[in-house]
Amino acid sequence: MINKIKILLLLLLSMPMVSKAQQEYEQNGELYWQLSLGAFWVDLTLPKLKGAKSTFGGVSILADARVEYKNFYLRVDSGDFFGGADIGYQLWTNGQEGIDIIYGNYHLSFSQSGYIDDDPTVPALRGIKERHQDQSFGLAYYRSVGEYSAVVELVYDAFGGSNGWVLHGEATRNFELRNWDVWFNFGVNYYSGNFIDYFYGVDIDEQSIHLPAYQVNGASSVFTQVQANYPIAVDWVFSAGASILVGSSNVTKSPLVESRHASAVFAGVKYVF
Amino acid sequence: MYFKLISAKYLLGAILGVIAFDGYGATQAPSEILHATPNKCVALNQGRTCYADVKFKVNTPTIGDYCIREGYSKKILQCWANTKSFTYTLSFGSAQSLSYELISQAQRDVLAVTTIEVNWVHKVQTKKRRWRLF
Repeated sequence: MINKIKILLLLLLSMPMVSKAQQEYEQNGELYWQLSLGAFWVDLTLPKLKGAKSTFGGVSILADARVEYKNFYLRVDSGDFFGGADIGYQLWTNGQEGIDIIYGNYHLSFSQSGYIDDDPTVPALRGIKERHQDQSFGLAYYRSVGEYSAVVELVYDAFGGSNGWVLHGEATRNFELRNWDVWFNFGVNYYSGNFIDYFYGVDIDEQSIHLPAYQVNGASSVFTQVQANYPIAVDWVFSAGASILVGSSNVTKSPLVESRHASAVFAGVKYVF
Repeated sequence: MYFKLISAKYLLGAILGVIAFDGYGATQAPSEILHATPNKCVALNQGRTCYADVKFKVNTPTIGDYCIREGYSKKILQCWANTKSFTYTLSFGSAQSLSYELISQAQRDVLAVTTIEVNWVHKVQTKKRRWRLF
């Protein structure tokens, strides 16, 4: 959430620069940007950490941004509450398939305060070190066939704390129902032992009477999403979506974790600049 | 003859952007003769077919036989006999703006033209969202 706010502020502060960028794109066709800001009602449930707040709701300001320069791109999506920004470089494409170098985040940060840094310390989590968000680099292979698309990403947490890797795959089916755009998404994640243990394991130096040491040797999750978009007017889009994620059962054996389910529902309108 | 008068008035109005005058001294703009609602259709992405149920309202000064046709292909959508006002609902679907004409069935003169503008929100197809959280 905090990262989202940082990204939003960054986008707002860079608006004059971006405006110039759009003009340049129109001149030389190499630089492209698109930005939208919207107000969304969001109901969010994260995998529950023991004793910590895991449900969040209300109206939020969310941004979609897409900046492309030659083969580089930055994408921020309002429907992606956890992934933050995608930064990538397109290595190769033939139009239907391609390979990108990507940077992104695959796990949320948390601390002994839970998901929100400013919250008071949660007794059940007292004494754990902060789990920083991963900073993962890797390769993505994607392929589109008609209204179907699929992507497989293999990334390594190069600049985070885990020294682990993640394999992410998802398939999407898009439906164009008159002016509605509806898509369904299904995917899986596999987290290496190092990666998931960094987040949900309990190290020797963290253990206490209430918090035994624990090691996680790898985990997986499956998720499904649906999202609908409708153009209300030339610059306005209505957007609504829902997501459900279920993690593998071994994670709930961690002394830090109480549930392996997450969900998100959102609806709102956004203005496209 | 009367339709030719109206047709000439429409052309004058269309070119100069002024209101045309009918043969009886009353004023009636082409947009009042043929009115389309909505006259804009918005699609999510550039190049995508835009759909809308467009209602044409026709209100001519005199009773006659009229047709509505597509401006580019000249395809007749529907004709009405011995009337001066009528409505027609078109199931519009196009990736680009299209014009529609009201013509007199006898002389085939164009009495009025209206355009359904097709716009889009995104210039390029937006990439799909992903969910990567554990």
